[in-house]
Amino acid sequence: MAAASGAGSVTVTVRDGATVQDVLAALGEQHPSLHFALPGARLAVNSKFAPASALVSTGDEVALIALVSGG
Amino acid sequence: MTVHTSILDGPLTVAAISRALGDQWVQRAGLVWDQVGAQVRFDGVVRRMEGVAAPDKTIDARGDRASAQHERPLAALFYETYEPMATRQFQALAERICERHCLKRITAIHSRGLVKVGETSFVLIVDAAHRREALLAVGEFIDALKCDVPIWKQPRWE
Repeated sequence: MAAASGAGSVTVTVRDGATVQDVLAALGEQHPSLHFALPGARLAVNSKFAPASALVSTGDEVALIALVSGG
Repeated sequence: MTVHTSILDGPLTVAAISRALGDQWVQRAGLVWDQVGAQVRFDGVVRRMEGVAAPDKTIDARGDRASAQHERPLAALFYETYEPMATRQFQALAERICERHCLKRITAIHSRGLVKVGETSFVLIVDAAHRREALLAVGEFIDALKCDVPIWKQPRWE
């Protein structure tokens, strides 16, 4: 993910009261280089996987977790 | 139910595993050893050839577009982790599998960083009363590891 974006982190703009789903949509729109990785990816909020309906608040650490490949 | 998990830098050598687990693991501390009828161990080893998606796409028999793959020789894999989530998810997964299959003990260790071809990057050891639950637990753990634990491998080609 970092290699695709060219950075360890990116900035997205979302409305107040945005959900995880909103953040994912914004990532796809505002960072086209990440578009290919989004279908299989999930968001973690403060180091926990979050459902699409979960709200994202100021100060939250949001991580885009692409298809993992451990093991 | 005893659970041991670790994410260690570099390959999982005998010495590295021994340091991580300590003498108490070998001595089966906390384990009612005479209730263990089956121990299953899985070692994930970096193999030399790794599949690479070809840039062109071909149409498969169903009429869907699919990437053609070929293999290239690796020198190593580099394992990247997202912490502290990787450690937490790894531990939570081990606890869940241990409880679900009524294991006596589960031990899971994964590498972080560079692991060369032929070296071990993942070790899973389960102790159970019977082979059935031990074998099921190993398969289920690995399937879930590849979904729920934020660890990624990046190829380092020859």
